[in-house]
This record gives sequence, C-alpha cells and structure tokens, in this order.
Amino acid sequence: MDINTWTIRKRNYHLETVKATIAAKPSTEHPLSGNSKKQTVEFIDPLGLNSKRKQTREDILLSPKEDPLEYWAVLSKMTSEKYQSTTGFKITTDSQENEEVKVVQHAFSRMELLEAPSKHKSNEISYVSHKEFITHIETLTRELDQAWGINDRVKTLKLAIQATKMLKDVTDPAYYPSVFITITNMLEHFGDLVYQRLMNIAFDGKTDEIFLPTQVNELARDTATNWFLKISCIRELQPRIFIEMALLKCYRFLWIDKYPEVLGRLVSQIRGIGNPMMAAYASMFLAKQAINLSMNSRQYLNDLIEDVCENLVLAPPEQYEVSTPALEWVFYCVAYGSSRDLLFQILEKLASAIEKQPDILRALIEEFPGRHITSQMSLFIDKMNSIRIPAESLKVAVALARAVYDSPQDQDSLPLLSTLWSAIERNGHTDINLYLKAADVFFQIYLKQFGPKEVNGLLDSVLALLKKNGTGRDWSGSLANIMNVLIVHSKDLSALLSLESFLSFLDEFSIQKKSEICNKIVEHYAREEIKFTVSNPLMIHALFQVTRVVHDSIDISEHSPEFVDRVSRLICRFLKNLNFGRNLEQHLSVLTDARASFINLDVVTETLVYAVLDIAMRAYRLVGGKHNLKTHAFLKACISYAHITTPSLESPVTQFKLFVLGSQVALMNGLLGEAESQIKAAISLIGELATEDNLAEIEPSLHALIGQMVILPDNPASTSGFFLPAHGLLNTLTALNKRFEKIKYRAFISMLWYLSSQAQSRLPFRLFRVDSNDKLMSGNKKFKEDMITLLGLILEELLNFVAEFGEISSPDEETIDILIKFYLALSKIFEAPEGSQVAILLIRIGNLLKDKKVSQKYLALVSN
Amino acid sequence: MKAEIVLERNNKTFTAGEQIRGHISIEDAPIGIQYNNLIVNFDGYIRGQASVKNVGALDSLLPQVPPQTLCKSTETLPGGTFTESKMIFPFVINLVPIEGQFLLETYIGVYITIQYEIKSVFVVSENVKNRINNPNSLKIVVQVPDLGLSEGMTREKVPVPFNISPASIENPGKLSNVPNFRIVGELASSVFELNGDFNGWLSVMESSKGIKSIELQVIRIESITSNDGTIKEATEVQSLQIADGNVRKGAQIPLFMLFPRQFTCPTTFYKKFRIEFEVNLVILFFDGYQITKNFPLHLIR
Repeated sequence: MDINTWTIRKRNYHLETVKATIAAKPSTEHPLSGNSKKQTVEFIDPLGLNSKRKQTREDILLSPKEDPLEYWAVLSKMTSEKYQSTTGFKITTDSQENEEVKVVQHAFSRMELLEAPSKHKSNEISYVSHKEFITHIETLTRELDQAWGINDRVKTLKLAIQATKMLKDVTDPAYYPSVFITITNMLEHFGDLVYQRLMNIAFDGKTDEIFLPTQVNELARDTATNWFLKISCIRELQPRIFIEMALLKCYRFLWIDKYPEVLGRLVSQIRGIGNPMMAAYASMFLAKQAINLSMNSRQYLNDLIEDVCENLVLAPPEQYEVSTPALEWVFYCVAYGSSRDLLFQILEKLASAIEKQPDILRALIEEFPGRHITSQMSLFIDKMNSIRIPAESLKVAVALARAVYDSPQDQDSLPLLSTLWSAIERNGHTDINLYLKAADVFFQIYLKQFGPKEVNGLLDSVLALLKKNGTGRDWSGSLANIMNVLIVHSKDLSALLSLESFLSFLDEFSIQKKSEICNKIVEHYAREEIKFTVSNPLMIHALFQVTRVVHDSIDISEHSPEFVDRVSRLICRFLKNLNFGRNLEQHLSVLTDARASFINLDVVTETLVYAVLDIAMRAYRLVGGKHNLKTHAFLKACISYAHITTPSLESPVTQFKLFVLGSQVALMNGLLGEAESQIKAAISLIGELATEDNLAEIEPSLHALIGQMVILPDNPASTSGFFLPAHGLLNTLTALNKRFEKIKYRAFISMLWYLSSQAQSRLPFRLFRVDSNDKLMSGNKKFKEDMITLLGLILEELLNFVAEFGEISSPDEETIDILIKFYLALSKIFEAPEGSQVAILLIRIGNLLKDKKVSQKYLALVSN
Repeated sequence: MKAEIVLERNNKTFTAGEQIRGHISIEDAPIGIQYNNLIVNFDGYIRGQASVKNVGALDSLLPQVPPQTLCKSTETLPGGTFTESKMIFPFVINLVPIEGQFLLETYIGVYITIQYEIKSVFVVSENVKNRINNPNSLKIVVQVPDLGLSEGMTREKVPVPFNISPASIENPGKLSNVPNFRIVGELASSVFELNGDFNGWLSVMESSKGIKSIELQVIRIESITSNDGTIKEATEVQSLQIADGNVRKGAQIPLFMLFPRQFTCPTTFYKKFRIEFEVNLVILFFDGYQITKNFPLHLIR
C-alpha cells in the first residue's frame, strides 16, 4: 500500500468538540449520598484515637483520686512495688509470749491457748525472699480459707493473728509497706469471710448491702458479738486492733450508730503503737476500713491525722520516708469530700508538726483538692517561703504547682504562678529531678492556660538551670517527661515548633533519645489533621530538624514499612502545607533543603517534585502566563529541580508520571527545550518499565504524553529532522516484547491521531503564548514529508496487526477493541472515497469483524 | 436415736427471774417404744474444787467451799410412745432460787465453780433402755442484775486518777536500775459494770528509758475461809497489751478492755468465800525493768 496516496481529512476540531459535547444539567442529588449518613453514625474509630489520647494524659497526671478504692489500688500497688525488697525477710512463727510479763505465777489464760500456734514449734525463724514471703502469706491465706471452710473459726482467727504478728517482725523498715499491703489484704479477706458468714446467718445471704441492725436476727447478732468478744481478748496490741479494724463493718449487725465512738477509740488505741512508722500504717488501715463505712462523722479522721503527724515528726528519716504513703493516704481520707474550712483547721492544728517536718505540708497540699489549696494560695506560698530547707521548700512548691494544675486557673493566676516558679527556680539546684518534675507540671499549666511566650520563657528558664548546674548527670527521664508534656499538651504541632527554645531543648538529649523523641513527635502528629499552613521560618527550621532526625534514624531494614510510610506521610503533609504566599523563591529554597534532607524517602521526594511543579504553576498564575526575566528564571529552576530530582526515585512508574507532568508544566510555561527533554526522559523509561512489567500502569500517562506532543513545537530550524520524540517513541514501542503488543497498538493508534493533527492548519488546542507546529511549520515541506513517513511506519505496524487478526480464530475483546479503534481512526483521519485503498481497508476490517462473529454492538460502530 | 436440749434463746444467757424456754428435740426415734416419763431437771449450784496445781497429800488439808444448791426444779412430762421419728417436747423452767437462797452468776474459777445445768432423762423400762439415748446436759449462763452492788454503792463513775513515778514504787529493787519516769492517768471509775467496758487512760510524760510494753491485767482473787484458815488464790484472767514500744510522750493511750465472760463475775462476798478483782498496770522497760501498779476493782452487773 502506498500511504502517499492517502489523503488526510481536513478537520475542524472546534466544531467536532462542540458537537461531541454532551449538555450538562445541574443535579440536586449527590450520586454517592446514598446511605453515607448512616455509616458515619456507625463509624468506629479503628485506631482508638480518642482512648489513646486519654491514656497519654493519664500517664502524666497523678493517680486517680475521685474514687477512694481506685486510689487505694494504685497507691497500694505503687507502695508495694516501690518498697519491694530483694533481700531476706524474717518469718517468725512463734507466739512471742513475753514470759517476764507474767507477774501472777499461777496464771491461767485461755488467750494463751488461742494464741499458741497449733503446729509450729516456738521461735521458728526462717529467712526468705520477698517472693517467698508473698507465697508464705498466700499459703496462710489458703490455710485460712480451709480452716474457714471446715468451720474451724478458732484456727481461722489464729491464722489471722499469726499473719498480723508478722508485721512486727519486719526487720528492715524499707520492707514494711509491702508486707503491710500483703498482710492487710489477707486481713480484709478474713473480714469479708466473717461478714459474708454473718450475712448468711442473718439473711441467708439474700439481702443487699443495706440493712438495719434491727433487721438482724438474734443468732447473727450473737455470732457477731462473739467475734468481737474473741477479738477483744487478743493479748497483743497490734493483732488486736488490726483484726478489729478488719471486722469493722461487722459491727453493723449489732448497731449502726456507735461507729464514731469505736473509731475514736481505735484512733487512740493506735497511739499505743510506739513505732511511728507502724502507727502510721495502722492508721492507714483504719482510714481505709473506715472510709468504706461511708460515715458522716469525720472527727476520728482529724484526730487520726494529728496523731500520725505528731508521731512522724519523731520518726528517723528513713522511717519517715517509708511512712509517706500512709501519711498521704490518711491525708487523702481526711481531704476526701472535705470542706475548705476543714483544711484550715487542720493546717492550724498541724502547724507545729509542719514546722518540724515540712514534708507534712507537702503531703497535705498533694492530698487536698487543688481548688481548696489554690483559694488561699498566698497563705501556702508564705508557708512555703518560711521553710528553711531548700529541698523541702522545693517539694512543697512542686505540690503547690500540682494543686494549681488540678484547679481551675485563669489569666490572673500568672503572678502567683510566677512567684511559685521563682521559688522553684531558687531551690531547683537541690534536686534537679524534682525541679524537672515541677517544670513538668508548670508546662502542663502554661500550655493549658498561657501563650507560647510564657511557655517559651519557662523553657528558657529550665535550660538555663540545667546549664548552670552542670551536665554529666542523667536527667533524661525527667526531660523526656517534659518533652512528652510539650508534645501532648501543645495545641498542635505548630504551637510546639514555634517555641523558640524548642530546638535547644531538643539538643539536651542524647542522639538516640533525640531520635526517639522526634519519632514520638512524628507519631503523635501523624495521626492528626494538619490544619495550619507553615510559613514561619523558625518553625520550618524546627520542623526540618525534627523530621530530619527521624529521617536519619530510619533504617529500612529495621523499621516496619508502616512506620516508614507514616513518617513519609507526615513529612509530605508538612511539605504540602508550606505556604509563603507570593514568596515563591523562598518556597523553592525550602523545597531544595528538603530534598537534601529526605533523600531516603521516595514518597517525600515524589511530593517534593509535585510541590515544585505546583509552585511553578502558581508562578504562572501570578504572572498570568506572561513571564518576565525573573519569573522565567524561577520557572527554569523549578523545572530543572523536577527534572533532576525525578530520576532519583526508585519507581520508574512514578518517574514516568512525573516526567510527563514536568514536561507539561514546562511546555505550558514556554520552556520548550525542557519540555522536550522530559518527554524524552519519559520515553527512555519505557524499556525499563517493560522489563519490570509495569507498562500497563503508565499507559494512561503514555497516551497523555502523546496527546501533549500535539502542541509540542518542533524546531523549524532543525537540521536533524522533525518529530524526534515521536521517532524515539516509535522505536521504543517497536522494540517491545510481543506480550506488550496491545499496549503498543493502542499507543500507535494514539500516535495516528497525533500525527494526523500535525497536518491540519489549525490544531485542536493551543497554549497561551506558545507557538505550536500549526503556526511554525505551516508550509514546511520537509516537515510534512517526515510526518507522512512516520505515519506510514505506524500504519504499517497496524496493518500487520490487522493481518494477524485475521489469523486468530476467536479474538478476545481487547483485541477486537483495538481493531475497532483502528477502524475509527482510519475512517476519521483519512478520506475514503469509494474504491480507494482506505475504503477497501475499511471494508476488509468490517468483514473481518463480521467473520469473527463479533457482537452486534461492536459491528454497529463499524457499519457507520 | 438422737436427743438434744434446745433453748429458744440462742446465747443461753438468762437473767434471774426469767423463764427458760426450750424443748427436747428427738431425731431417729425408736418408733413404737414406750417411755414412762420425760424428766427435765434444772440445778444451780456452787461447787468447790481442789486447785489443779495443789493436788496431792496436802490437798485434803486445804479449806474447801462446801457444795451449795442455789436453785432446783424438776418438770415431769407425761409418758407416751415414740410415734414419729422426729419429735419435740417443750419445757419451761423458772429461773428462781430455792428458798432461803439467792442466785449467783455463772462462774468458773480455780477453787469455786458456780453453774446452772439442765438435764433430761427419758424414764423407760429396763429392756428398752439401750435403744434410748438421753440428751447431754446443757449449761446456761445466768446473770443477776445489780449483783455486786453492795449497800450504799452507786453506779456513778468516780474517776480514779493516778500518778506513777519512782517515788510511788513500794518495792523498787535495785535502786540504780530505776529509770526516771512519770506516768499519769486515770481509771474511769473503781466500779465497773460487767456489761460495759473497762476504761481509762494513761500518758507517759517522761521516761529516761525506752518503754517496751505496757500491759493491762485483770486479776481475780478467790479467798476461802474455813476453820483451818484462809487461802487466797490470785489468777490472771486477762492480759492485754495496750502499748507496744516506746510511745509518744504525752499521748493519751486508752486503757480499754472488755471483761472476759465467765471468768469474771460481780465482786462476790458469800458465806465462806469471796471473789474479788483487781487490775494491774504493768510497765516494762527495754532493759527488762518492770513496774506494776495495782488497782482494786469492784465489778457489778
């Protein structure tokens, strides 16, 4: 066939477009609106974002104090963990009868019978570890359950007494709290057993917890009385009162109104315990047992705290330290539901104790509701200032800070807070870790209540103190807590990063810690929507620092792909949110920095290319397409950024797409050479894409590329011929493996359309201020010749396809589709007068399709 | 067959003048067997006993409390046949003394025991005796209001303040050992009601030596008089630690206890014996030095 005889139709693209356009009608309904509303309601956050958030907050806050039981649980757990011993425990399983006490020789005491251990030999001492000790208590508890099960109440009581006596045997005060918790748990269990038994006797276990003594039957009353009579003759003080405390609630079977009296007596009986620490813990147990009774009368608590404080003033320092959980608990019980007036009464009563042991003031402040404390802040500040030991004063200040945190604040609290902070700063050097804890609280308050200026001031002050007090010691734990506060409590990332001293603070951490923190920042904010645009240079700097640290710490082999992905996404989101208004050059320079910073993250690099193309187009819009020298240079820089950066990406698919996009932007802005070279770069990737079997992914882009070539002007002065990119593309496509032939043929058909357009006097579309071939090449013979040659080569390929089609017995839909596309292209592009080669070819194709029994809907397309 | 004396009142405690209501409860009765009578006996008595510690040749020489019946009653329920496997036979006993006597409280001491006991016996013919089980006897606790309250005495509590110091010690032993100390306090009264509690307080004001322990002991003194003379036996019936360790100076430590039931009773002056009570306050110092302060008590119901 001689292609030169074929005539290309004259076309009016504009008219064709108008005709082809379907009139659009506005719609009132969203096609996807279906049941989307319902879905929103049922949406369950799969990541548990909200709960996650809450959890982080709790980490920072102190223990929960709304519910005494919860608080006890936390406190007791903390206490037994903190004071857990690693070395020996002494277990004495003797009866500890004090022989010398018996003045009356012919003594007969049935209590001796009761108290004598049933099996063990006297004074049997064994040393065990803490774990073994716990096991021992568990064994005792089991024995107690067994004895109870067989109704051996005397033995049960004996076991309870035996356990309580172990409290006295703790040799090292440091182990006392954990022994105390273990043993009181057992005692409470014992108390529950007795209570339940009485309930069974009284009500067959049926009634609810609320009952009046008058509803209790005689038997239950007698049983309860017997229990208390038995307890009342336990010889040793501590077992006697501990067991009575364990059974406190059983008094309800006898009466309901005598609790104030009984509790008052127990309070004073505790005074008989000479060891201040043991007395404090006994008080702790009493308060614990009593708070469950939900009584109105609180007098006993006021007396109790007074006793505890006056005792602890006398305690040696190590005992005092160990007793603080007990002190705090009693304070807590006193404070629980109390009024402000009470606070001041207590404060007055404890004044002398506080003078001797300022830590009592600390405990008081920590346990009373923050709003009561802060309502008389200046009083407390005076008290704090009168403490002469700086370390103690610091502790009080920290407690006050927490109180402030726990109570409503407003702008007016700033002066008081400043006073408080200066006290903390003054004494901070005595205990850096505590100082940092205070800072922690202050940051929480400041972040909540005040602006970045105050927060930054605080940060500076902390940094200054750290600097002054030398380095070399490890504060990273506390510093990390503060950082955590900053991250969690900042309103958003911008608030955090706009802190001037943020980076200096970050530098306080070791490299490893730093990357952990930066990861945390990224993790934290990656979950959140970024609603701000980034333009503050300081912030961008900080952001880059943070993200760069994370970036540098990423080891693809170590981190999960999800993590890398998350980090990448976050950085991408920053980059997308950069906004410098009209200062596009600055924007470009940031993007350049970013490229250098994040070379390891392909997604980021890709985003950078998109971003740079985006600002290029923004520049285009700013000048309305009319570039001046300056904007022209800027554009060039953008395009070369894109051109240089794209090849560094790993995926050829992405590269291809970016090259196509880059060439479009270049073309649009009249950078013809740049456009062409990017098109060429894209074409040169096709081979690699085929090898990696990714060709299908870029097919749409490939067609876009061909479409774009329609307006890509050739150089009229070219000596090496025209249609160079098209030639390149043709060669590349021809060289493709046969399994890509469908893609190849579709591309050829597109090229047919493209090349035919070059023969028209007016192209289907044009760019503002860019002259295309319709203007440049009008009347250029060589150009036309080259076009015909190229067209011929492509037609030849396609005709081969038609021939091959004839050979296939049952072609698949895709192949049929290609043939129809070719048919349509032929009939549209070329004149087909009857008898001409084109007409014959068209008829042949039509027949081929009929032969292959192609479905009617396809034939309908061809028959026109 | 199983037989048991069951009282309506669970705690088996009765006040003089009250009616003791109860029943004999029978299970697995030998159905068809006849019994002539069911006798319910009630006895209240004082009994002397030799001290456990003094058993021996001298024992018979020591004065003893002559046995004395305080109350006695017999109820005879009519005979019949065991018709069902489970049966109950109610009875009522009036808790009143025999003529010329008055009731004392249940008490178990070293030399003296005062008890009230219910016994029950089915009277049957000899040939079925082995098929009948009689219930175990049952002891009840008797309380007598106002007992111990001798003439001219009131229930009003008059505090008994005390002050213990080296000067107040009667028998200081080695003088060099005597620590310098001052303990003040108060008993709520010298007369206490057994139904109530023992009360008082003490404060260690000064002490040159650490205090190891403070105990409160209830001492009971039984005295028996006979022609051969008088013996006196003091027994510790309860000893409670009220301070454990070196207590804070000035802190008011309660002297609180309940009186042990059955081992205490109202202070009793009876024909040939007496039961009296005291409390000892025993202060033990770390070095083993010990001080005892004794207070006589009068217990009333």
